[in-house]
Amino acid sequence: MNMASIELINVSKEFGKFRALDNVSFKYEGNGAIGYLGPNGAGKTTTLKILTNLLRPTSGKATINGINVNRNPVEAFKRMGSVIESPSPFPYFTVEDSLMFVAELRRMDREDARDRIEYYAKALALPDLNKRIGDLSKGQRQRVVIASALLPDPEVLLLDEPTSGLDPFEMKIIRDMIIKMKKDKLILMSSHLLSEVAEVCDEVIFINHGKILARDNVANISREFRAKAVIVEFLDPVDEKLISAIKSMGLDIEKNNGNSVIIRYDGSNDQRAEILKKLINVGNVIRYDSVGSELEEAYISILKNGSQ
Amino acid sequence: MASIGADDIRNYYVGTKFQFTYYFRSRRFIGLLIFSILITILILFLDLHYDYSALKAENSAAFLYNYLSNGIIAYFAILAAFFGGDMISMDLGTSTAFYTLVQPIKRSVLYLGRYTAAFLSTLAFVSIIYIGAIAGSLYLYRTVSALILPSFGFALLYMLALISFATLFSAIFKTPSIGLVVSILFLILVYPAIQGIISALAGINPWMFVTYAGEMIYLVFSKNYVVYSVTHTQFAYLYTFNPTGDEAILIMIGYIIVFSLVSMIVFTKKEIKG
Repeated sequence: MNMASIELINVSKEFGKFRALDNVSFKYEGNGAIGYLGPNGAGKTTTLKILTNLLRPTSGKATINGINVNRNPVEAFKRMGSVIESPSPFPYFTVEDSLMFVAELRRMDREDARDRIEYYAKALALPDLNKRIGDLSKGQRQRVVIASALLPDPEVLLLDEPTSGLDPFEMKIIRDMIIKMKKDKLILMSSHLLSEVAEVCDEVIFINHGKILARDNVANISREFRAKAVIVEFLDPVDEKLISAIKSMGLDIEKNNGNSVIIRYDGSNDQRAEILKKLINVGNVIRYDSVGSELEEAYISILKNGSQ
Repeated sequence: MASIGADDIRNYYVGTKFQFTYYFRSRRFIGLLIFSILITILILFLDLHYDYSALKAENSAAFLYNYLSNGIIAYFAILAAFFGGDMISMDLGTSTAFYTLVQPIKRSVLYLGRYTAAFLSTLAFVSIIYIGAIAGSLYLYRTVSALILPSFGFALLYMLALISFATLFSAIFKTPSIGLVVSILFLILVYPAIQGIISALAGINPWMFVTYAGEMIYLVFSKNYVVYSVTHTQFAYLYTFNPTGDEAILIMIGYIIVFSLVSMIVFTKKEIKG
């Protein structure tokens, strides 16, 4: 069996004069989860649509397991599952019909398909299998579609904001499932939720204006973009006296509110320790925490640099 | 041209089965089913009361000619529009595309499966109408003209041609309901009106209109109908054109091939931008 792979080679996509993707290239092999990050209109969904042959590239090539998706979509689809935007199976189908439709097209054994449907019904807390799709909430429908993507046990999964529109309970179910699945699948997942990407992904790609700005593994990104602010909470309200004392120690207060202040620093562990040492001399510190995540810092910094 | 493999045949079956299930459970199927049964029962009821039957004629063939020429041809157009008018836009105009078009099935095979399912659905309604015709004929004449078989054959071919025609609108318009309404307007109003003008007044054989070929469904019961005639009135010459059997078959097959091919190509090539 070939190793699972997702590859884009110099892919560009134009809609009239608008260039949605500009010479995008990347390649991932094996297993794991790749986060695809960027603001609205950056080119994330366009990339995923090209990888599912819903759009065709103006130039370049997109492959799944080495198969050109736009030339031989059926063969590529046999190896992948996808959830692009918010798909909706036919409203008059039941949940079971919708899943069996996929199972039959994927040549799954009927008994095996039923077993797997039952498994995902529990794992993804699917609604009653006899319920009609048209009667489901958005979150329930999304979980059915995710189940349909996972049902044939594909080697590659493409997920476009898979937890969009879900409640926190549903989000957790999906995230846990992705963490489980990435052990033996290659997952490319776009998301707006940086905490979600930080939690489930091993690699990240940053895209904006149709161009790849940066890509690396999450550990490297975390090292490079440490949080550069701490929030300090004191037992007593922060007054002018305390602010003056903090400023006199050469610390940079970004803002203060009630019992807490946010202090900016260079992001190094040494300075972080030094700040804490100084603060406990001027007040009763009851909380000392980073503000924002490394990924958030990276996202803002890379996008800012990319647009300059 | 891509070759057809065992996978395609199996996928065609799966596509047909699930699409037919979809139609079968839809409100439009149930609504049209109730309507077809009610219309058929109403006509039969009038037949049972001899004096009220507008269809009563000298024999079974003449009765069937009347039965199938009175608006039922227009009803066929409505059926085709309801099942073909959104066959493609149901994907392209909704988020269903993100579910169906990422499965390992060629779009052309998916189209053929849907086309077959649409035909099977309309077949149910056409059959109800013919069952009504047979029942009426048996009640009034204790016999049914053997010509009902070729008429039924023409009706099925006509349905295939109409569905092909309607799918073109489902490929052109993104909103499913627009494709459906435009199909009905074309087949019930625009086509018959233009056909009437260019044939009766301009004297041009309206072979390009599928509705003209559809007349063969009832003309088949008339042994000696006039294929072409000119009447001189006080104001103008009036022309009459009626299709021959061969001509009707050719027109219908032409519609099936041309419109299905165009629709299939649009469906295969279309990108999902929205």
